[in-house]
Amino acid sequence: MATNNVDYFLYEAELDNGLRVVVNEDPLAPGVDINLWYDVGSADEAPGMFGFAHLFEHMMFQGSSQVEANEHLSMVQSLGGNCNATTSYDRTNYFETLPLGAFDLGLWLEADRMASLMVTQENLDTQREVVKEEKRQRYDNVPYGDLLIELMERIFDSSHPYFHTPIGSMEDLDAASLQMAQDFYRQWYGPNNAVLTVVSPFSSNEVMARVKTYFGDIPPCDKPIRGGLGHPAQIKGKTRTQGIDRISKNVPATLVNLSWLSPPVTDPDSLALSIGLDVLNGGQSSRLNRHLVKETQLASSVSARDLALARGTSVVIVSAECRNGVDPEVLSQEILSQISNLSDEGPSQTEIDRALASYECDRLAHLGKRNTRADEISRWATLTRNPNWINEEMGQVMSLTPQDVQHSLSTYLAPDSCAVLFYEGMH
Amino acid sequence: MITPRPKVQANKPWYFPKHTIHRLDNGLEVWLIPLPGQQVLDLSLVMPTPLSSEPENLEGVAFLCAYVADEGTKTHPAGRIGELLEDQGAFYDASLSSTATITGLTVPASRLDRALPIFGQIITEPDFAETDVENHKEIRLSNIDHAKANPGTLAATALKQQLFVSSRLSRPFYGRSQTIPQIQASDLVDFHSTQWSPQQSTLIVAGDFNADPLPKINEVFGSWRGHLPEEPDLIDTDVESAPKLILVNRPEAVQASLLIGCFGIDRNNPYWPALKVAVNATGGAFQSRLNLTLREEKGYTYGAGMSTPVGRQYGTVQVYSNFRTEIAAEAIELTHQILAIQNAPLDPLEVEDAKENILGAGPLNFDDPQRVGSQVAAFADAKLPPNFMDDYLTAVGKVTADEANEAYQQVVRPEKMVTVVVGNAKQLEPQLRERGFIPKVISVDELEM
Repeated sequence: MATNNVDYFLYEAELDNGLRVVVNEDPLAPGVDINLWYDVGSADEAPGMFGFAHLFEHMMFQGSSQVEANEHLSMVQSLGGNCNATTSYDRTNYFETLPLGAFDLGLWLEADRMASLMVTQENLDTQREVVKEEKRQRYDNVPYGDLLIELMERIFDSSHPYFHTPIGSMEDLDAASLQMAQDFYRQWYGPNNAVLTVVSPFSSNEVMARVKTYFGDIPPCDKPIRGGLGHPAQIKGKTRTQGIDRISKNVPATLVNLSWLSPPVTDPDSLALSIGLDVLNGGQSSRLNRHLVKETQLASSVSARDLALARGTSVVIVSAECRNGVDPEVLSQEILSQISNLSDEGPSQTEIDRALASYECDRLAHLGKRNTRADEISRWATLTRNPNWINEEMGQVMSLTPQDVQHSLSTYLAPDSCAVLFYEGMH
Repeated sequence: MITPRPKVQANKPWYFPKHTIHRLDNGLEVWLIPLPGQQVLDLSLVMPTPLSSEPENLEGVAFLCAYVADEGTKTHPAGRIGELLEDQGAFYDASLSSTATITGLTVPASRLDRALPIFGQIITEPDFAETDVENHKEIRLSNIDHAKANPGTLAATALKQQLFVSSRLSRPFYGRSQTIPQIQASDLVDFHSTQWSPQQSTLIVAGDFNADPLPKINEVFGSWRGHLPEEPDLIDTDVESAPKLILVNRPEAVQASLLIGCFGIDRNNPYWPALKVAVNATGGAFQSRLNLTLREEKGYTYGAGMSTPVGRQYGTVQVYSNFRTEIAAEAIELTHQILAIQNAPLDPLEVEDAKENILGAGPLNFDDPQRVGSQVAAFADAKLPPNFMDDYLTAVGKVTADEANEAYQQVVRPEKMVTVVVGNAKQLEPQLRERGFIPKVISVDELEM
């Protein structure tokens, strides 16, 4: 039997202007993946500009000194490549997969928009409308679309950076101006606030020579110093012992949601907690699915996830959909008693082995895809300055014991410290 | 210092990942596709189970059969089989097309030998316990409630109903609220024993298998026996659509969800490569006419797209977007104008960009087992060879602008198109009438779901 291993060779360097570069040479790669993480997300938005980081991500496709509006995407697509960008709480990422012959062009496109932003009032007005349509399509026009917004506003105090979601507010987007875009750009979009990852068959030397050609002369930005964020001691809204929140909307079934604060994704404790969540609800035979969906049939589905946030804290959300006629209080009690049982007795070795086997399969597939591997490298280089974590994580996880997992569950998922939200249908 | 725009170097010719084809004595074909460096394998078992073979009062039985199969087997009942599979870090999944059940397994190559016999049991000896069947029926009914609240699903349901008229394909693949309650565990047993079969089925394995998996596959599936599958009912694709615009009333909607569709062609049609190029340029890519106008110029939508969903026996052409209610009629009118390319044929530059987009994407899209596996499974379902992609891309490379325009105009015919809008009818109907549309307003309950 072959052993599964994760051993991607990474070459790391930093240019004089502060751009950190990680190169993964992959002789089998059919193309080149370029991935840039800018260390800025919705958590950096001041009140009055909620949603701006994401709107700005759209502006980055609207032109730079040598690239016309939309030319970036059009050019990449007409070469058969693809590119996109996403904005989350902690970061904004930009990425492209290109044919080998377009490697230089890809670097040049990213460098040109890191060095200059040439947007007009018309571009801004149009993209504002596009983003508002995005919010309508993904959040307002589908059942439960606003669930995360509702949850985060209950978990965090309004002054906390995670109180508001990246999609932001329509009013703030209406107030966005060209000047704000230029200011935001000058603050955050410099080489010293970015990590560039390249996965390709080219050697580290070849890649570095090209990166220096295109990025070497870009001046650093005036990156603001962030205030430190400690792990908030408790949920700012009501916890379970203080009562249950209910909202009522036009949705087909009631969703029971239990939320806890959890350690940031950079904290070693988050690994054991994540395996704990897998034991709880990772696969068909995991505890919550088996008990709630198959045996008692109180729920038609159940999920348990950690949002993998990085700044001082993260959040665990367990959600279950009530079957017809099931009292959400009964369902939430059942979920909590399952979690308590697991925290009190600890998982069996069989359960841990199963969760680890499933983790291993996911992880190998995830890193096997070159675009997601590039993103993981940028992620850890940004969050912990250790991109090699992509190689180290599996060893750490595979050595977890039932005791480690029990400890993390009892530390972080105490029944009394969760916030409870019933998202109810209006029937 | 300004660095000038670098030139793009020509790419080496690319071919779809190589495969080998094997046939077991029971008729099961095995397609092996080695992908070096990919430690997690993707297995797809494509079994021809035409939906038209379901009894009409038991629609959904094919779906339940595929989804309940991994709950228990004769050897390992009551959830035990799922535990055994998960012990190997492996996942079972299933999907349906109009002509096939496709079950799948995701598993690290190092654990294939131990996971394959478990997968084999799920396929050949599921026990379909009554409690599991009843549980899945209830979950399916709750999913139907979700579908009724989802604008995208409502639009797709309305379009199918209009296009496929009374054939099985006009109704949801996964069964309806009238049919699901009638299905019994014994119906799954019957469907499984008559429809799941190695004959004319294909098992696809993609990834970096460290040893030849064929002996193990033979050991697990070699003794499996089954009937010759039924041929699917023919589909009448020459349907005149009336009325032309269906407005599904969803009073709570804040957007109008648009889906325009007509019958197209399947992959065997000589127009297929040219149609794909034309659709890419008109609405398939980000830089297509549709998206650049509706999103980047007007700001009417988060995105607009055009695609060519295709099956073994038919193809369709579909256009989709979502607009804020206030400007929806104007945006829908504009969409129709953009689609009428006979008024402004695609120019050679647009056609070249679209061709390069399709050709260049080949090597980038097909380098991981999941994408290779699902693409090849679709070929197997359509009775096409695993290297169909190479022939198709060669043909794309030869498409001229004239051919692209001709294919589009032959296939995407305004008089054959059905427009579905899901949204607030009270606000949308007057707008649409003002622009000359004659909407037929229906309620969600009028859709067969």
